[in-house]
Amino acid sequence: MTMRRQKFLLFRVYQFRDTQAYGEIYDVFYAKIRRYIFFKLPSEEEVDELTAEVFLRGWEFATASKVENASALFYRIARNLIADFYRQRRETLSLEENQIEFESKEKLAENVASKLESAELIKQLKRLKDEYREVLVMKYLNEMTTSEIATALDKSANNVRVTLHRAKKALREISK
Amino acid sequence: MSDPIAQLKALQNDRQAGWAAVEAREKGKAQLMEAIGHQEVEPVEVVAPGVAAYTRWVLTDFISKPLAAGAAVFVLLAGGWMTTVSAASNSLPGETLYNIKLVTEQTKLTFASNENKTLLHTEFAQRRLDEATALTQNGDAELAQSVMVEFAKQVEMASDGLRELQSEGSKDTVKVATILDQEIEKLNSSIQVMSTNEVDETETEAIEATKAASNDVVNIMVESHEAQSSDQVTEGLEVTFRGEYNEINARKTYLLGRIEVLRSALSANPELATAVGFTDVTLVKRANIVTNTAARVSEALDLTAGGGFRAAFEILRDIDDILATSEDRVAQLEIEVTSTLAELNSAPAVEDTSTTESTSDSKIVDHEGP
Repeated sequence: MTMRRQKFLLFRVYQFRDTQAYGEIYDVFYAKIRRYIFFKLPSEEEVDELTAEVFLRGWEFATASKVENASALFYRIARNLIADFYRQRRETLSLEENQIEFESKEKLAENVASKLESAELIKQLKRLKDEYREVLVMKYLNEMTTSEIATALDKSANNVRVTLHRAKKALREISK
Repeated sequence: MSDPIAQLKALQNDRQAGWAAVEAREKGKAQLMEAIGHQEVEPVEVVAPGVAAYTRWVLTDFISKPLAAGAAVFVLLAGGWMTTVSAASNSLPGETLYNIKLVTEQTKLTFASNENKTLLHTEFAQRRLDEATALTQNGDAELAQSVMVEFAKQVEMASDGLRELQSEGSKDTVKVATILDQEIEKLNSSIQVMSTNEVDETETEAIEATKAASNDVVNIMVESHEAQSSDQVTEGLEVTFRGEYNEINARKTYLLGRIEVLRSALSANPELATAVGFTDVTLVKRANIVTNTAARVSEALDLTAGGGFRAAFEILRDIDDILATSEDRVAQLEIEVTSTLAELNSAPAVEDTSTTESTSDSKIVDHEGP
């Protein structure tokens, strides 16, 4: 979706509470936001719940105020909700928890050889610093540009480039 | 292992990397659409989508950004935009953020087109209703009353806005009128939901305000229809007529039910029938007045079939007056029955006390009667 189309849809949502327009925006951002949350929360059920909450709050905000960038809005809401989630749960991601989650995901694999390799990669990804994992997921799984990632994470493009460089290096190190 | 980055890219559609099936996305979307009130009908477009209004929106946005007018914007920049606006939207009169809420509303109006201003006023009217409900629940009746005055003002401004559109010769007048009519109906429902057993003066004024606005809307639609008949205008009038027709039938049914309850009370309690100042005949006559409106309702329906909307709506107005008078009368009868019943029920207790203390033989005899 082009920025122009996105801006137009946001206008429709704000001026007319156009639910159909918001549905289009949802279609574009759902997978990316869900994946972003996926690597932050322990269970898929919680991931789906939080993802739904992001878009519901996004609607409330987009109908109350002019939104310039839907991507930035959704990522910001997601970050806040994730922080709230852990504040309420008083949990922190531990390596042991990641491994338990990894094992249950592994059970879904059909092609053993390639899926095991993929599962191993996911395991290594989760071992990385949150900051590194975040940019790698957004860049290579969500296919976002550096400037899009910068806007979503409220950082400068340069900062994102440096972080990405370090993240790739760290992933390669850990994969050896 | 091959290059991890290349591998990572290959996991885009892998569930282990957070990918969700289309079914999951569709399910989530359906739930979201329901939550935000999406209806599977073609929405009535107030303004052509991609052109005039959008261009104006972009330009005013471009110009207004450097100006950054208003406290709302300042607070948004300084205080964290999301949280502040979100918090302000739920604030009530008397709270710190309430002014931000009002300023935000004014800002919306400033940048809205004339068509959208009309509808924004109904949105703000609903907010005033919600605030009044919350204030009433908090026990602040006085503030709730002043908020209801603001509600009536918003409804009036919506109606004025529509009249202005008509005088400007806007081609979207009928479309806006149709939507406005639906919004007013929703406001009426909200007023009924928030009403308590006693209808106070403020609530009556609120109902009068929505009624007046509704009449304005219908008049404008009828005038447009008479000036230039079109399928769209006719359809809008039919929808409005059907809404009023259904409402009148519902009121009639409810009213007849209340009359029936009164009749049952009188027939079950002869003492009550004697004590109140009216008889079953009064109730039957009142019920007949209500049921006799059926012929006129049919007449109104027939008129709409032939395009005679003005006369049809005038008939509905007359019936509305008849029902309103009957509703008032029945309410008076209900109060009379209730208070009489209360007096009758309290009378034996008084007699008991006087029997134990009094030496009057007649009262003792009455109490001990068969």
